[in-house]
Amino acid sequence: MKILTKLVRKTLILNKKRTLITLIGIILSCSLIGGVATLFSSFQKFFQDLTIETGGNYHLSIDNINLETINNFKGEEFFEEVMIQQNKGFYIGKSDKVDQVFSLVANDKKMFDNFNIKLDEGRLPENSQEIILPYFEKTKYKLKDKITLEIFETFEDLEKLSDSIKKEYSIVGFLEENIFSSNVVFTFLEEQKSEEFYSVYIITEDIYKIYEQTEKIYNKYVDNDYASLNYNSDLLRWYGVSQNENATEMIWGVALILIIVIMIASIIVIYNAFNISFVERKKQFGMLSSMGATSKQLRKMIFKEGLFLSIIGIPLGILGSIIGIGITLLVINNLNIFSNFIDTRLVLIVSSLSILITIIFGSLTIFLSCLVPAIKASKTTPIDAIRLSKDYFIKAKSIKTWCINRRILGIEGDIALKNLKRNKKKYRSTILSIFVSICLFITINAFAEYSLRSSLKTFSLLNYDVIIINEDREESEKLVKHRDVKRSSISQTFWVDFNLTEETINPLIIDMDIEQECFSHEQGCPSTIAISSLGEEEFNYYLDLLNESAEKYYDINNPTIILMKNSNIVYKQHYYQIPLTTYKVAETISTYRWGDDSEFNSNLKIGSIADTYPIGFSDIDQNNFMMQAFVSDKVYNFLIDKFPKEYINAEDYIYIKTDKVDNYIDYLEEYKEKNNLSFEVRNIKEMISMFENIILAISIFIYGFVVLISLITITNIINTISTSIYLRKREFGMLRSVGMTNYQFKKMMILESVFYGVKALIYGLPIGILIDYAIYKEVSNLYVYEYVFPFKSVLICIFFVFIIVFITTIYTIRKIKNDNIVDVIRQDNI
Amino acid sequence: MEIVKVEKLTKIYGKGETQVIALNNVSFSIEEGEFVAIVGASGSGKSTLLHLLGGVDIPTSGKVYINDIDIYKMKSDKLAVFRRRKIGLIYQFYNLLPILNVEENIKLPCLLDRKKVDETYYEDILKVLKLNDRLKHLPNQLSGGQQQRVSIGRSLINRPAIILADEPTGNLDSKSSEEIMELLKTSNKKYNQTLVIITHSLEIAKTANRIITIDDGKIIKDEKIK
Repeated sequence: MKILTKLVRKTLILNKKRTLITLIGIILSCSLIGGVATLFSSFQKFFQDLTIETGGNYHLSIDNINLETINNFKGEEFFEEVMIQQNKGFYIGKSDKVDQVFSLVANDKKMFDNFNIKLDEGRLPENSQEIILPYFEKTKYKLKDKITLEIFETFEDLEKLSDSIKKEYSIVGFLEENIFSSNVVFTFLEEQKSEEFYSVYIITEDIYKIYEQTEKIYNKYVDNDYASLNYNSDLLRWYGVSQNENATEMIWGVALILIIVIMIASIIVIYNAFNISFVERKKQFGMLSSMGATSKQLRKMIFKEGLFLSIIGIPLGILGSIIGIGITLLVINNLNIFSNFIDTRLVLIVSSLSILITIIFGSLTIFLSCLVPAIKASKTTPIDAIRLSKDYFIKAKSIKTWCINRRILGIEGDIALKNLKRNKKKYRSTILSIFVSICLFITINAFAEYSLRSSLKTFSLLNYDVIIINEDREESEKLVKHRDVKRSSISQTFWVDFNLTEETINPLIIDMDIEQECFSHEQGCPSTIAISSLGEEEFNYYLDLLNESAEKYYDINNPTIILMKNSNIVYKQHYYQIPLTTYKVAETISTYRWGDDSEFNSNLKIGSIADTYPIGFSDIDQNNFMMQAFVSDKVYNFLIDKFPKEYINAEDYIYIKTDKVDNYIDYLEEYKEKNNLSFEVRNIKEMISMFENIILAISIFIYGFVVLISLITITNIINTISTSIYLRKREFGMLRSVGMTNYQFKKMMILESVFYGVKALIYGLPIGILIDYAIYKEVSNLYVYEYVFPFKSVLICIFFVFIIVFITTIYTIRKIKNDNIVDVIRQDNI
Repeated sequence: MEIVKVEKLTKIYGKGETQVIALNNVSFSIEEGEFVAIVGASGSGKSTLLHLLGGVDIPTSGKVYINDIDIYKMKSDKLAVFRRRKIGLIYQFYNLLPILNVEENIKLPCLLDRKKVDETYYEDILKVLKLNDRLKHLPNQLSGGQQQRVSIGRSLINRPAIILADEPTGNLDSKSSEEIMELLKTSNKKYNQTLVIITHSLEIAKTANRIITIDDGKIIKDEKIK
């Protein structure tokens, strides 16, 4: 047996080039498997950390228990950390606008430690006289201010208040502004009284035993009916121990699918490598068999080859995956996607699970790849050694070509095509792997195009960079008077209704068969128009843009609107932008308020129908089946005067276009601080760039995946082409000895590779395109109106298939071109 | 008329200690229509000589003229074209293209030249080769003798200046060997075809007009036979 092992090792060393290519295939495949496992481990950790950051670090909470029970809990070893919180009640924060209800909560030290409470300024409370407030209270209070709160025990309604106590606190800090901000203020829980009730938050010793242990302890100590036990399923689901839906199962399910795709692609390649290596050495196997090697021994030789390569390939693959994902995560983290909102970062997690997964699936891949060649090897008979070549099996019919081929491409083209036909089996796996790559590439491109980029397109319609939401018009006008503001509108909107009848509705919509019933009502179907003002300046600018004269839009006796031509219509999950009505210029729309008790009604005259929007508005802002109209501020104010006050949204939406977003935002923040104002600023440009970065990050992952799968394919192409050329050296030698020139030889080889690329494309492209269309059908939604043939993907596929096949062919023929014809001709075929 | 002239031909394989002098300063010439047999022990250099005559190997020094053309002065592509037009090569292991049928294999040098095949000449060859009923067969459907006949046909198709045969019967039984030799002689006589063959068999050698004996890279005997 030892001699056979030696033989295997020698073969691997002697066939350095192929061993290397096979090894690269194995390394790539293991890197990919390991990469997926590592990535998913890292994401699992990321979501665990993120949940802890946003929801606090605890496994379960128990509400309404007394001090005695808490102390009992503290004595339990399984409860590693017991944090205590007490709800002190509620108070009402008076404001000049709306009164707000705040809840006052007292935390002990451990609670503060584990609940990532971020401060904008100041420090955490250290005794029960200190308090921290939400960021927005900064407009009213300063650090070290004393504040007396009237605290109500329970709270249901502003009108029905319970008993209250008054207590003075000193403000030691302000909470940071973030997306999770709410009306909660914190103080310190100094001492616990035995007659009061508390909530505890608990971190357990072993999360995987959480349910049985906790139930046991809970039942032992808790005997009141108010107490309630809640598991932090938000966090537990990322550990895969949630009682209901487990996020881990879902994400590892996706990982498994990816790993299986990788395995299929890899098996095609690695099988091919082993098979080629076996076919080349068939004579050797026959010789061994004739000398008495058993079929088991022959089979073992191939498996040994696989084992040797695994021992080198799998560890390198694991290393590759760690380095690869490490670099990827570094890049992703540098995109600063969520850095404005969260502190949690995607960190590289090399878990024993992911290494184990790589070893198991990597070994399985190699084993499956060896299986068929090993079985073939074990069936090698001595006669295989004696037979010189397999050409015995060529049948005239199977290599028949059309005359036209020879006439156009010459004898070189004919020989090339016949060769392709002869080697059908050898090329099959390569064609299959190119096919898999093409399908994957087109699929992923389609996915990226239709679902990722279409959402970006949506954002590109936004024609402003910053929104400010402010209540004071005078202030609003000051805010837009800044040198960095290029264009701005100060807008308010109210909604009125009109009746859509069979006469006024766009016939196209009637055809769509939408809410037929509604139109059969005598008065028609109530529909809505959003009426917006834009501020004096933008409105006049907009009129200029539309070439409209101003006067008629300022006549309050005859309120005139600019109506947007198209509305958004969603029908059968498809999105259309078409006019909702057949209204024309100079017609009037009779409006009212549907469903409320206001007496409002007004006839609005259509001054013009526009298809360009003023600043701040775009197609994506429009609701389904709604029309949008614009009026001058004068008309707007006239119209809302007829409204009951409570229906009016008095906030100004200020839309700003600027080239220097950051400068302007800084200015706004400074201005806000200085004048103690509380308007809201949203940086749209930043939001868009955040989305762009998210899409970039997703693209990095999915295109990285395709590139790596393609690399596996490339090793396959190199292996197949070079072996197939190498095996036919003697034929080439003969052709050259009867006078084939280098040019003719090159032409023949290139034509062969062209045929073979074309064949892969003929299979791959139509299926890829079908998948593309299926994805379009599946995910096309807003802003993808019509199917666009994936020319780009198709061209890229064609380009790369040919480039790779070409380069390999040219590289290989260059290598054999310099071989001596005589040596080659005399060489034994196998 | 002198069709082949060899001047001080030397071929050395390897370098330093492993150096082998396969041909050592060999000179001779061959007349048109001559039938020359080259004999010698294994490793004497006869195959090297034949390959150098056929322009498929490159000499270390010396010159080979065919039809007064110094073939090793030609660029490799020009030499390839020259080979397919002026030299017919026959090998021990036939070296047919397994994917081409008999007809295509025979016509291959013409096809590579994109030249019209002289059909009457082709028919004539087929008659001599007795391959008429096998034209659409692939090489793997033929016996060894038949395959060798195809390769002879291929070497004749372009009416080359010289046919070089490297042990053409080495792989064949005695009956097929006789047939092949008969064929080669026929073509030598019928088409006045110059013929150089390498053989181990003295019997075959004796059927030639001239026997060149090589040993250790040198011509040790060059005798004409009547």
